Amino acid sequence: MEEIKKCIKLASSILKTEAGVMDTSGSIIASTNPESEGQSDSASRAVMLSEDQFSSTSDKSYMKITINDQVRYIAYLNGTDANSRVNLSLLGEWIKTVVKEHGTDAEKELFIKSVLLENELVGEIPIKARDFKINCNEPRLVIVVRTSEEDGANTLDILQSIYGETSNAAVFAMDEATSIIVLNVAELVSSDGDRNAFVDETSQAILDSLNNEGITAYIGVGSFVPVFQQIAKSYRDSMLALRVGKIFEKNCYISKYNQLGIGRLIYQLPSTLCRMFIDEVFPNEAYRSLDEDTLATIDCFFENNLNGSETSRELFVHRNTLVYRLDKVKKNTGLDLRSFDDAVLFKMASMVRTYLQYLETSKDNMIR
Amino acid sequence: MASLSFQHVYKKYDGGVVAVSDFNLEVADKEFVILVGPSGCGKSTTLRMLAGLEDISEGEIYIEDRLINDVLPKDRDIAMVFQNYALYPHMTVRDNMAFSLKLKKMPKDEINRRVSEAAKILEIEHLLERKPKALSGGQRQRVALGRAIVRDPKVFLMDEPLSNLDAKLRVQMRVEITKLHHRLKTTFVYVTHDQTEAMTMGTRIVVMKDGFIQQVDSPTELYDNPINTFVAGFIGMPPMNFINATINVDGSDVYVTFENVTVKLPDRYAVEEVMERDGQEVIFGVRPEAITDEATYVTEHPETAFAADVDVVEMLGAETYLYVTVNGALPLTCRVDPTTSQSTVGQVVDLAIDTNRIHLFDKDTEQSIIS
Ligand SMILES: Nc1ncnc2c1ncn2[C@@H]1O[C@H](COP(=O)(O)OP(=O)(O)O)[C@@H](O)[C@H]1O
Ligand SMILES: [Mg+2]
Repeated sequence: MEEIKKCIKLASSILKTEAGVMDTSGSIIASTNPESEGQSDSASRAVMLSEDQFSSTSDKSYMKITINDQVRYIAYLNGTDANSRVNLSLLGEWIKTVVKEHGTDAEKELFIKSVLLENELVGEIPIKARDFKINCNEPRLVIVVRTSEEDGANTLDILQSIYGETSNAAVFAMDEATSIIVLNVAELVSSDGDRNAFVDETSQAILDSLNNEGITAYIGVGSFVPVFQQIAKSYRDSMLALRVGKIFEKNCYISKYNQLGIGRLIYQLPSTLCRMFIDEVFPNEAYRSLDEDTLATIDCFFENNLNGSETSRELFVHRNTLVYRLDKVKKNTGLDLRSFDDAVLFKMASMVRTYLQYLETSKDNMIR
Repeated sequence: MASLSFQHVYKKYDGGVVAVSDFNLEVADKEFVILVGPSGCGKSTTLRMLAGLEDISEGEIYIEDRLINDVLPKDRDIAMVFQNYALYPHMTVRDNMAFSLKLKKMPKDEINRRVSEAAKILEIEHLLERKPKALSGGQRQRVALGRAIVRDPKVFLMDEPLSNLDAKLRVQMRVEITKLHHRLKTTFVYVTHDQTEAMTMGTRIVVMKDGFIQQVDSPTELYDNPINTFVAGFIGMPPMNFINATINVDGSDVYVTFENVTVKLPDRYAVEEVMERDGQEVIFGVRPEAITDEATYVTEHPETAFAADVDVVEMLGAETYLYVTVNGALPLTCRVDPTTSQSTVGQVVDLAIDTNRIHLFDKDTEQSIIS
């Protein structure tokens, strides 16, 4: 409908007489004269009954627009002379092309969406895909981009300009805040070894473009799947990556499904099990006795592979201060983070704890 | 072209983290300013507020004279370059560079003109039709810079742009970015956690810690006149030695004493701020290069000389580090001249301090006692 309106609007700057499009019941959906829109043309019945593509009344010419052997719209134009007839047939053909094109684009998008959401029968996917000229036997990757709702439309625009000119990608919105990119990576990734580099590069480039347009975005990268039929899996993985990434890291703008680390395991654990584990590692809520500074110190100590001098350098505290803080952790929790086993236990437990906190806070607003 | 002004800016994240506190800074048009500090000190947050990617919790930010708190990010005329220089693998270099302009629906001629100009500045004209895959690491970096340049922004923001590069490329790109700043004559705000990078690139450096600005100064000022122990220790490698010492005043002479060593301070320390601390403890700061083992200097400066045990000698070619212990208790690092140094491990060595280059800090506030 929008696309027809656009055509007529363009036509109004070219044509000198009124012209427009009505549906098969005669209701005018677009006209160069805005006042006609919404009105009904009683001649439509006769036009529909006529066998000819073209017909006319005393002052108007009509042309039936047929798509897939079915009359879908009627174009009309004021005037009945030969010139009017030529103008009308040009207008009619133009609208036909636009409607057709738009129809397939929209249908294709709908089809891919429904594959993503697992609403298609796996066996039927290749058959339908052929209609849309989708090559099923090439590997795919789904990337999900989450923004605020206000930025959603802009984000979609930007992503469409990034991938619009390639036939190797489909870009569309899942909801106001979520855009999806389904990439055919057959030509982009030639070996398994390239995969990580490709993912890193692509996701960062997307984030850069969005940030540079002033949009704060979170990106989830799914898994590579070998055929189109499996894009639903890649999509699920991308959503999981997004969720897991956000739980375990505060300002993590890009999460990749194949780089989730321990978060992947913890995310699967039932909460009762998590609680038991926490009670075991931190009896009497020993964790609570650790202040912000100490927790930040521990994070940094882990990031530096339990290397004390690196840690004190990065945090810019004296070596003795670090030792003091680690001793305090040992005293309060019984875990000596300088020992590998204790460090692993602490790391796991603090991640499990983060996960439990996430469960608590998201209980009310259950995000999928 | 634009000046920047931060006035009492705060960032408080949900959950209570105060990432930036009372941030005040004036940046002149065309200036190259560096924010430096340990990880987590609020550098990225500050940059993201300027770019409009994070809300400003409190305070005001101006670009030129325009209050930008409520200006849409895309209208702020800013270009950002991030940690990873990323390019679209499926686009040519030209398309990668032109992308943001196409988004703006800029006329083709203008896009071409800007891309050519940027390519010329970056000396990548011959690469325009290639895909990123066919580029070397250094070439990619330039293309990524090109993407920012074509936008012709009022301000460039760079957040640790070199941190993922190997050491050699990093040094090369530092020079590259400095040159770029000279050519473009635009305001740059550059973030790094690496003090060496800050010191080699910056004309003015903002040292941050825990969300607070510690000191804003030129590299030499930061090095020579750090206002507190944090800045003193953060800037310079190896870091400054901090020694717990006691002030002793004898008539108009001022001494500091630590372990079994007494060092006479130059006359400029005979001022009230120091004299009134007679008998009190201070932090005595000495940079490694202010301690020497050169025999003639030591004999000529008996009033600052002392003996120490040499634990480790690290020879780096252009300089040698001595790790020594004074009185069996106080470890010190010295940077000495390898052409004259004779010190060997296990030896007791005579050292002297160049007292024109020492620092005194209050033991409690950690602030410099005289400026
Ligand atoms: N989205 C966020 N939510 C909550 N806290 C955050 C977020 N982003 C950063 N922080 C916290 O704010 C502080 C400053 O972070 P940041 O500006 O990234 O520091 P820097 O860039 O100097 O390393 C850190 O304590 C960090 O954990
Ligand atoms: Mg940062």
